[in-house]
Amino acid sequence: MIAVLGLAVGIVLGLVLRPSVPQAVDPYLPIAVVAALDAVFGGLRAYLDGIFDDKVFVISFVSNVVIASGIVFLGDKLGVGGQLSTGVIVVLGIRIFSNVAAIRRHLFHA
Amino acid sequence: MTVTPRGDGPALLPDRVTMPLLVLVTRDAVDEDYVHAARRRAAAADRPPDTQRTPLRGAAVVTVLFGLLIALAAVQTARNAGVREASRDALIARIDERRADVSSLRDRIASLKDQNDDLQSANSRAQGQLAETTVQQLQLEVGTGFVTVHGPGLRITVSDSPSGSADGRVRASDLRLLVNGLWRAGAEAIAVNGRRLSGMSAIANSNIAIQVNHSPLTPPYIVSAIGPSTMAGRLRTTSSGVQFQALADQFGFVVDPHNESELVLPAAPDAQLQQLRYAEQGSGAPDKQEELP
Repeated sequence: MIAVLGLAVGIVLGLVLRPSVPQAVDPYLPIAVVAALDAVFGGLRAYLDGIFDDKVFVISFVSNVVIASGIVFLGDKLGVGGQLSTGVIVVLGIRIFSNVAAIRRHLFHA
Repeated sequence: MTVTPRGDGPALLPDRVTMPLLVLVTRDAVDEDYVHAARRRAAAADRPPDTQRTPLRGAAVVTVLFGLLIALAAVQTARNAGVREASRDALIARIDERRADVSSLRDRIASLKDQNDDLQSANSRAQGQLAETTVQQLQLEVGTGFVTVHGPGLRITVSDSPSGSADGRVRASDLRLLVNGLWRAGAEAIAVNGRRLSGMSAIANSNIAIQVNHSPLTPPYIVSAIGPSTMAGRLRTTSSGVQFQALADQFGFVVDPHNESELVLPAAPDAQLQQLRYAEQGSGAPDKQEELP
């Protein structure tokens, strides 16, 4: 409940304030969102498994975002930014899908 | 160090090492930290659970952050879409422009090709004319003494009468008759004592000597004419030839015609030919009509 509320507050805040993103950070926003999505689904699954931990969630969220953006940043510096971001998105996507599958099993007992 | 038997390998190494990457990613989808944290909590279960209130504070902050992130990404993408669309439009405009350029250039190629064809046909026409004119020029040069010529012809040696009388001398008028007869008989080029006759040449008397091209000659007079082999025969049928023959018979000139297979006649002097004048076509009405007597 509090998670849904927080999400709504965050979206509204972002839409209302529309903070301008520095040009340097701009390319890493999408990959950060995907990494955050992975952390959020992981947390949701852990919550449904009954092993949710606040500290772990915060740390995994922050580290996911930082590491994913960092990898893509490094790739950009090496000239393989596109390929590296593809790799990151593939791995995170697989994790998201399997987490969502586990969540589905919990919710629908299927 | 002993080599581990292959069968025991998987038991000794952790799953993380032996498992295929995709399977690992799928199985460890949820962070192991949750499991570790749960175990730790279970181990310290005897402690009073004071984390019931706090757990959701961090989660709330993180979800707000997450929402903010999503909103930011969406806004940024929407903002960039405008720029991308604009650059796409600009590219399309440029493509259209270049296409128009290409088609106009194609038109130009076609028109230039047409022009080229026209010019080529004009060129070939002009070249034909040039060839024709060159042939004409060569013929005229031969006739007017501009070039050295050689070929078969007739050599006529005319000497004064052996009697030595004043009437027996060959005069310019006599030679003129002979030369005119040769021209009439079809001569292409004539020289007298090696002096080529051109359109400007004159055969004139100066005192008693005969002058050709303003230089005096001494007898005997050798008239060389390049022309057809029938020239000697035709000379006798021309009026000038007949008159010359009559004068020669009358005054006893020694005339010795001789057919030559190869004669070489020099060109006429340049100074003479450079003064050539020619009539020009008048434009408009003349200022003053020539008064006729």
